[in-house]
Amino acid sequence: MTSDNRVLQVENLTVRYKNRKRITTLVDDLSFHVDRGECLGILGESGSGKSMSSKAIMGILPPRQFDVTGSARFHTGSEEPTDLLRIKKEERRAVRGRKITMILQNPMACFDPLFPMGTQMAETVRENTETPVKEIRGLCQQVLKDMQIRSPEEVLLKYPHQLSGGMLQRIMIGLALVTKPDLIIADEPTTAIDSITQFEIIGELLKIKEQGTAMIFISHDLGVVNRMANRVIVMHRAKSLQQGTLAEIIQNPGDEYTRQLVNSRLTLVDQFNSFLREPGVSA
Amino acid sequence: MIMKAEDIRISFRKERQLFRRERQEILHGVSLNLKQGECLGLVGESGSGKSTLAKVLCGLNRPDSGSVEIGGLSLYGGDRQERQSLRHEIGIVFQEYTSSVNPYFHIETVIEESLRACGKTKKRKSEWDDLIDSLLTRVGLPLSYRKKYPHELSGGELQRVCIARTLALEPRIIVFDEAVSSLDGATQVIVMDLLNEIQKDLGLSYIFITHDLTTITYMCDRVTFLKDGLVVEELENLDELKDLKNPYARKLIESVLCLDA
Repeated sequence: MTSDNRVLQVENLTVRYKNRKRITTLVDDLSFHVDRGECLGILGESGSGKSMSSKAIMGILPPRQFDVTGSARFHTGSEEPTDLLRIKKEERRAVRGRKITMILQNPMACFDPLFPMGTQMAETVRENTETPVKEIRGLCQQVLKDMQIRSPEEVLLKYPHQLSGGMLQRIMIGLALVTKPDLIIADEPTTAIDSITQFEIIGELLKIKEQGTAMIFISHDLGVVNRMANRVIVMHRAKSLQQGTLAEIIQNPGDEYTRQLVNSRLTLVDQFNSFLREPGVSA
Repeated sequence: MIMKAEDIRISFRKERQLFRRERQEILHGVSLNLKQGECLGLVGESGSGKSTLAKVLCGLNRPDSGSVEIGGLSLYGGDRQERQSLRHEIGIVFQEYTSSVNPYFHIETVIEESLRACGKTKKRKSEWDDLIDSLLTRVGLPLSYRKKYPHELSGGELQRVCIARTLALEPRIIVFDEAVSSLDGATQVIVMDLLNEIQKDLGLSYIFITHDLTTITYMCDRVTFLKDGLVVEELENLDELKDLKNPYARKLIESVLCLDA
């Protein structure tokens, strides 16, 4: 793949947490790249540094406690690539939320419980796009319609606690798309939700991917990553263990942890398939 | 038949309005049977009433009508003494392992707390020590963990502590309310293997609540599908998963993401 298509190039990303007593390395020497229209999956157990690396790229870690080194070059259009880890606060604000958006894990905690959805959505749209004030409400309704939410007019008047987790997650995905970003970072977007809603949300995300938006998809679920990602990084204890397509990783897992991860999922799925499919038919 | 729940209905108060008290029914007459030594799976999407049912079965939420019987004795009828003694027969493990353990307690105190709460007394100081040691070994944790705090443990380890705490009361039935859903892939299988082993050794009966069908096929003998507070499909055998009648149950099956590499 040529570098014209490159959206993000991360090299030697290291994140350290500074405490009064000691320094802990949370992400150790991570390098990867994402191209246009591609989805990169990051797999790993909890505490392996998946979310930390994405937060470091977004620049939302408090600099007093976290020490971030390395480079993350973000390519927009024909301009010179900008290093996300070194740009000024104001410049970063122009990128974050417009060119790069993020979908977080816990939809219940991501919205302000004191304001109705319409107000919160309008605020995001107003801050990050140049939409005329009169059109904002129409745009919000359109976002909800695109995400297949029924009666958007009513939903705009509701408070976050009146909506289900799946609906909130879909609204968040809709908002992440409203600025037409170059890169979307999805940090475990389906972990907190049940399997039917998960299936629908994956469907929405796949549609976005087809439109050519680059995506980083973080998850610990092999099944979900398999559906979404073109390439996969396996992370364990702050280090990247293996990179490649998921098929490669499943066929020859390079180390003990990856093998365990793959085997455990395969055991579950094999058992499931053995009940579901006629004997003699392979999965 | 070790546990029998019949026609359970439960309702909660809706949003409070002046001079108006409306109630919303969550479970509309759910009946369940649990046989000795089996694992019954309860599946449904969020909001289908799985966790409410779990609380009713454990004696934590009194239903509006219906009965729960354990070994022929009624969990919500009878006198106080009888109810208290029955509650020891059934244990529960919750999904949120971090919030179900007091962060100020050592792991040993966490386990002791459940013993104390159920009115057990110790004769000598070392009596519970031996019990806690054997419980920690049982769930595969090193004895050095006794003096650790919950935040020092990983998710899988903490969930094991919760399992040990439940086992301390020697229940005959354990309800797992999404107990493995928030663990990651590899740990999930390790914990489920542990649960299978404990079930075999101690002859326990499980009610396993989840929304993930792959874990059901790994753990359970029978499955019940719940939707909007109603049982929509009951399977006596997992082989029947192939030809489900209910469209909702079929949709649940279809939404499982397999590996097709």
